Formats: sequence, structure tokens, C-alpha cells
Amino acid sequence: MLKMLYLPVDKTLEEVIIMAGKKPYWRIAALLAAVVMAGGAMQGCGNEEQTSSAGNATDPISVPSDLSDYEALDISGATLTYWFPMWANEAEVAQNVGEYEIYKRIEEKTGVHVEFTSPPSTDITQAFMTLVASKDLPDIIMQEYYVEYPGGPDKAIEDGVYLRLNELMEKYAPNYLAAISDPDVYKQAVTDTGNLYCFSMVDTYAQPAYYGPMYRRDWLDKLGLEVPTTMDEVHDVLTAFKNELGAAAPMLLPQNGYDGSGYMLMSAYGVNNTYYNDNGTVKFGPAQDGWRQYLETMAQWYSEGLIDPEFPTKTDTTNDITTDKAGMWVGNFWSPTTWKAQSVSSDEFEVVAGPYASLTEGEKVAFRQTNNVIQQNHTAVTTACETPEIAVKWLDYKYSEEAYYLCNYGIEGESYIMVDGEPQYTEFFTENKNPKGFPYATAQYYYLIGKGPFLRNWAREMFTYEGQPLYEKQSAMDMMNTWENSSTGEAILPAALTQTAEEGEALNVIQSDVNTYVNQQTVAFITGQQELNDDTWNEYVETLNRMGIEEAISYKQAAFDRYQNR
Amino acid sequence: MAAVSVRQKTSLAIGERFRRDFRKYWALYLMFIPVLAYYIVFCYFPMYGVLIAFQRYSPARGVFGSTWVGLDNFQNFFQSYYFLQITWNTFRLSLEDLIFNFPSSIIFALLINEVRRTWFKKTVQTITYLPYFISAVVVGGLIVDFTAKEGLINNFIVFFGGEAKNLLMDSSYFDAIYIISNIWQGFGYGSIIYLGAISNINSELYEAATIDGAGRFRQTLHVTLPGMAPTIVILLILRMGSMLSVGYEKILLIYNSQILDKADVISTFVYRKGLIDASYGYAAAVGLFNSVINMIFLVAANCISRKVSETSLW
Repeated sequence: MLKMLYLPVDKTLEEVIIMAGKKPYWRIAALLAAVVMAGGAMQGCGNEEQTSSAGNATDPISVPSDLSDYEALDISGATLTYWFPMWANEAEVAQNVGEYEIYKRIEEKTGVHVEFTSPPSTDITQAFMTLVASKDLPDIIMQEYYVEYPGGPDKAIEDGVYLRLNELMEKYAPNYLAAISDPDVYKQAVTDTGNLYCFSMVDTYAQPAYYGPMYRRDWLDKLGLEVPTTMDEVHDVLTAFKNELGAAAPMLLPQNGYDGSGYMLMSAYGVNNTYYNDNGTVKFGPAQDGWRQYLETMAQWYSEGLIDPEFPTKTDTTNDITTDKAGMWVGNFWSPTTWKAQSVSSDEFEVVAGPYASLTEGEKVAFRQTNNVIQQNHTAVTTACETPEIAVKWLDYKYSEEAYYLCNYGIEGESYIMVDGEPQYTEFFTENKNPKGFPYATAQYYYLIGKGPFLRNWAREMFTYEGQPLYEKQSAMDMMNTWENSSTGEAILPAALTQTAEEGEALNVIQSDVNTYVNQQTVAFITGQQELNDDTWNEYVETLNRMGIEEAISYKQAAFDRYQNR
Repeated sequence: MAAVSVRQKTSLAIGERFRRDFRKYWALYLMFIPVLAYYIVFCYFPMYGVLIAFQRYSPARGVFGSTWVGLDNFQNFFQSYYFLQITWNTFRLSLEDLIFNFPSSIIFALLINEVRRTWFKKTVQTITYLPYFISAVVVGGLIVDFTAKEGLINNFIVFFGGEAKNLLMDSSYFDAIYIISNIWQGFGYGSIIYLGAISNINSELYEAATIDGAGRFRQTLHVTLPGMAPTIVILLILRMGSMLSVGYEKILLIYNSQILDKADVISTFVYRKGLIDASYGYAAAVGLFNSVINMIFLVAANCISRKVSETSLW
């Protein structure tokens, strides 16, 4: 099961994945081992690190070669307590996570009984804060992706809430360490001080951008227009939507005047709405000249009636999409199915994903929605756990080859079959022919692992989009690739930056005023409530400086530097 | 009765007096226990949490383990770019609410008191109470929909020849939207206590006024209104005590970046600080500041009222 993981020094991870045909890591490992051994260039894992910067906080832990401790530890018969938030849609499936078929199967395989507790789905953040504040901790805590321990994971270890897992993982988590062994991935998995504190959901390879600009394909076809790729073309398309089709809100702009997830249109001017990486230097987008250009363009479009006139008051724009008011917006690839069903012109409704627009033809912008291999659902072992080695070995099981198939595909012959060495779902999932009759959206929680720490193949769910009329002309994969390929994403700061408690506190004080101010001014400039000229712009930048934006940037820079030195 | 019995025993020690009083009125004391418990458990006990206003609070370390930072949180707030704006907005909205919303219940109570047909009175009362029980989320949704460009209000404006525009995108309308919706939601429910006060007025006073030749309007002015006055004053004093507490739920649901300059108030600021940014210490400091100002208003109002009208809380 545990092949040695050797990355060829001259290959990037991307190339390796392409070489391996986007297979799970052990297959990459097997392939690479063969390649490397054939070349006779036996390299130890971690050699790659030597090429990166010198000041590592601690040496990364390599996959252990000695598994005697791991194999000697018998975990069957043990009991663990696990705090695991459920979403509202999961609560429809079962009352308690422990009732999920998949966890029963895992219990069968590992012999470990797990008692799950879940907070109410309405306020998971607050429940998490209360939990870590209480003295009554469970053995294992899963952090929902938007939940963060105040001050970061290092602080959680310092506060005596989470355990540092480095030593335990080295002995008892060979599968997890193998899954995160790539140096770039490893960086995302450790804290600034080199602590491994959690098991995260790990993707076998990073998902391409699932979010970006889209257009009404039927409208474009009606007008005989191509999908726009440059800002000028977008402008022409929107003008045609307005003048020839009478669209009331040709383009939908999110409530604060910018798209904070995919950075649509502002990326053409080389900025985003937050901090970004300009060749190693952290900058704040809304204070840059590019932001002014973005605002000028948006204000111009707004005055021409190309942008939803009521955008600042809209918390939800579904209505504008489904009542044929809008022809362009930013969204994810799975939502169009819902919109089509609700649309007043349901029969014609079609969408097409368009590239992130740039100023000149063929130019790639530097921002987009990005996904990492290390995903959310960071799961930590707490100080209250009496047998942390058992918790670690149990959590590690879900990164093994056996568990990969169990958690992603279920049971062979029942829910999947192997076709040309690839697992393929049977009608158990494709036709909802499972004992509970669940559709895949809910069945994936019940029979597979939908969320939580495990090794995930995100592409497993792509079958649900195949054969649907909406995705006939452009498949869901093509939509993602359109967004992914129109941008390099290189200016995005890594998601795993952590601030120290002091930095975080100071940053917070500055940041919330800055955010409020940026939102307020952005909307005012776009709607023309405030004229955008040299004076007002200088005053705006001056105010940001007075609020301490330089100080805030220095904290982000510090965090980024620490990240690069991990 | 109680006053008399106490006066007779003033020579006794306090403990003795209490024991006798308790023996006599034990049932009343028993009924008082839940109230006392409520205030201890929910109002006094959590007060130690105020300490986090002086801390860099970490939930895991708790109130007694977090780092003390003195007045840093207060300083940050007073130096905040938005300090003056949100304080003024809070005060302005509260004052407008006091001027327009507070009298609305009184006027409504006086009007409904004049209605003689019971079925009509009851129907109107029930209908006017109802909005009070609608959840803030629904009210927020209603307001957003009604004020939208294609909403109800704009339909009227267009019908009378005006130009439709989204009313929640112009900050000059915000105060009106906020106050009118407050009145709509609260005037019926608020009138209950005044109607109670009115029903306690001795009917002989009305008879006397009628004999003196006073009409309905004069009776209202010279009998009903003076009869309600103590209730009005007490409620006014209590209202002053929440002068800087503008209900954040509704504002949170209807405000947007475009009208933030008028709509952002202390409580929405605290919400963003405390729940979105998780700066608990900072949010607690702002909340404490708010409470102190409210306390000052309350004491001042009570003081003035005691001097001027002889009605006061203490």
C-alpha cells in the first residue's frame, strides 16, 4: 500500500499529475518509483525541499519507512468522540453522523467506535467558539471551512486545545503523510512554526476553477455574437443585450460592487478586492490605480445602464436571472440547472461559461477562483483525547487505498464497478437505486464521505452533469477549464496564511473599518453618488492610509513571508 | 395596608420586620422569587463578562485567562474612522424615533378609547397588534420588496406621475423608511399599556366634566391625558434609558453599502465586530460604552422628571 514517494527533481507537480493521468497519489508514486529507479537516481523524499528557501521552521516530516509502531498499534475496540458539524441538508439524511452507512462501514474495517456530536446547523461558528472555550472537549474536532480558531492553529496548540501531531503522525499516520508529501502541498498542511495540527480533506489533485463569468448562450446566439474575451467585447455584448433584447439589468454585479470570489473584470486591471501577491510583495487591491480603472469602467457601464441599477440592495440575484433581466453574471457551474428550472423561459435558457475578460486579446489575467489540494474540514485531535495515537491512526485510515475506494465509490460490485482500471458508479448512485433511494446529492453523505478529512477525488461527482441538456454544448468540465485557462491565478495569496494572535487582533481593528469604507466608496463611485476624479480618488487613498492600510499590508506580508519559509 | 403595618412597627429591627412581613405575605415573596432569579441569572451573573472589554479575549482561555489590555479596545473605538458617524446615526435615529414613534401609541390609545362600538374597537386593536409579532427577518424582506424599483411604493409614485427609483439606494430616505416601519410595527402594541392606564381613570371625573359642560375633546384633554400622565412619564424615562440602543435586526436586514453613511449604527457595528470579525473584546468595549451612555440618559431623565413632574422611577 505504501509506495515510496519520489518526485523527480526536474518535474513540477502538475507535470507529474499529467504524467500519471490524474491518478490518486499511490499510483503516481508507483509510476514515479518505477521511473526513478529505472534511472538509478534514488532520491530521498524531501530532497525537493533543498531547492526552496533555506530558513524552514522545522524539517518536514517524511513518510516513515519504519512502520513497526503503526502496525503494532491495535485500535480495534477503542471508542472516540468526534465533534462533526452537519449542514441542514445532511440533517435530512440522518439525525446523527453515526447513522451514516459509511461510518458504520469504517467502524467495521477499523474496529473503532466513534460517537458523533453535531451542533445545530444554524450557527456552527458560535458553537465551535463555545466548544473550544469549554473545558469539555471531545477527542476530535472538525472545523468547518469557514471556522477558524482565533489566532490560528499555533495559538490553539499554545492554548492547550489542540495537540501538536508531528510526532504522532510520524508514527501512526503514514497514509496521510504520503498524501501531503508534495512540498507545495505540505506547506499548506503545516503551520508557520512547522506544527502539523490536523487532518484535512485532501484532493487527489486540485480542482480547476469552478466559478467565473457566464453568459446567456441563447441570447448570444440570437444576436449572432461570440462569447466575449476582452473588456471591449464584454461591453459590446452587454450593450446588445440592453438595446436589442431590452435586458433591464444586462450584467449583475454583486452587492458591494465587486466579485470577491473570482475577481471578475477587476482582474483585467491587475487587481483584486483584497490582498494579493505581486511577485512576492503583498499589495492591497482597492488602493491601487488598477482599482480606479476598474471603478471608472464600472461607473461608465452603470451610467450606460449595462449594470443592474439596483445592485447595492440585492442580496440575492436569482430572480433577475430567472426572469430574463440579466444576460451576464458570475457564478458556479452547477447552479444553472436550478436557474433553468425556475426560469420564465425555461425552454430556451442556456448558459455558457466565458473566460475571465482581459484588456487585450489572448492575455491571461492573474486572478481567478482557485482551489488547493489541501481542502477545508481541518480535523484536529484535542488535548482531552486520552489515546491520541488511536485517534491519529483511525483518522489516517481514511487516506489509505482501501478507504479511498470506500469513501469515494462505496463497495465494489454494489455501488461501483471497475472499468479499464477506473471505478465507475453503478445505478446505485446514477439511478438512485440505493436502499434509501437517496439522490446522489444526499447519498454522497450517507454512503460515501461528503465532507470531513479523507482523500477525495472531487471528479467523482461529475457524472451528475453528464447527459443534461444544459451541459450538452459545453460540459461542466469545459466550463471549469474555460475559467481555469483564462487566468494564471498566480497573484492569489495562498489560502493557508496564518496571522499570529497579535497580528490578527491589530489587523482586525484596521480591516473592518477598511472593508466598510471600501465597500461604501466602491458603490458610491460606481453608482455616481460620488464623482470619481483625481481629488476624490486621492482623498479615498488618503483615508485608507489614515486607517492604517500600510500596517495591515505589513502583517499580511509577514504572514506570506513565513508561509514561503515553511 | 402594607404601608400601615410597616409604619406601626418601625421600632423593630429590620430583621424582625422582615420576618413578620414574610410570615404575613409569604405568598407574595414566593411569587417574587422567579423574578429575582431571572435578574440574578440573566442580568447580574453575566455581568462579569464585561471584563472582556478590557482584554484581548480568547474564547479558549476564557474570561480569567485572557490577556489584559487596559483601555486599548476603547481607544481603538474612539479613534475609529466610523466612531462619530455611527454615534451620530444612532443618536439621530433614536431621537427621531422618540419624537415620532413614542407619541404614536399615545395618540392611538386616545383615539381607540373614544370608539364606542366594541366589535370595531377589538377588530382594530387586533389588526394593529399583529405587525408587532412579525419577525424582523420578514419585516426586513417586506421593506426591501416594497421599496424596490418595481415595488409597491414605487407603483404609487409612478401612478401619480413620479419617477421610480429604489428607495433603499438613497440615504436621504433611510430615516423615513426606518421610522415609518417602526411606527407601523409598534404603535398598536405600545398602546396596550396606555389603554390600561385610561381604564383606571375614575369615571366620576368624566361625569363631573360633563356636568361642567366639557365636550369629548375637552374631556380627553383635561381628564384622560392628565390621568395617563404618570404612565407616559415612566415610559418616557425608560425609553431614555435605551436612547443609544437602536434595534439592529431591522437595520442589518435592510442596509447596504450605498446608504451606510446614514444607516450604520452602534449595534450593527458591534455585530460586525463581534460576530463577523470575532473581535470579542472590542465589541464588548463598544457595547459597554453604549450602556454607559444609556445609563447617563436614564439617570438624567429621571432627575429632570422628579424635579418637574414629581413622577420618577426612584
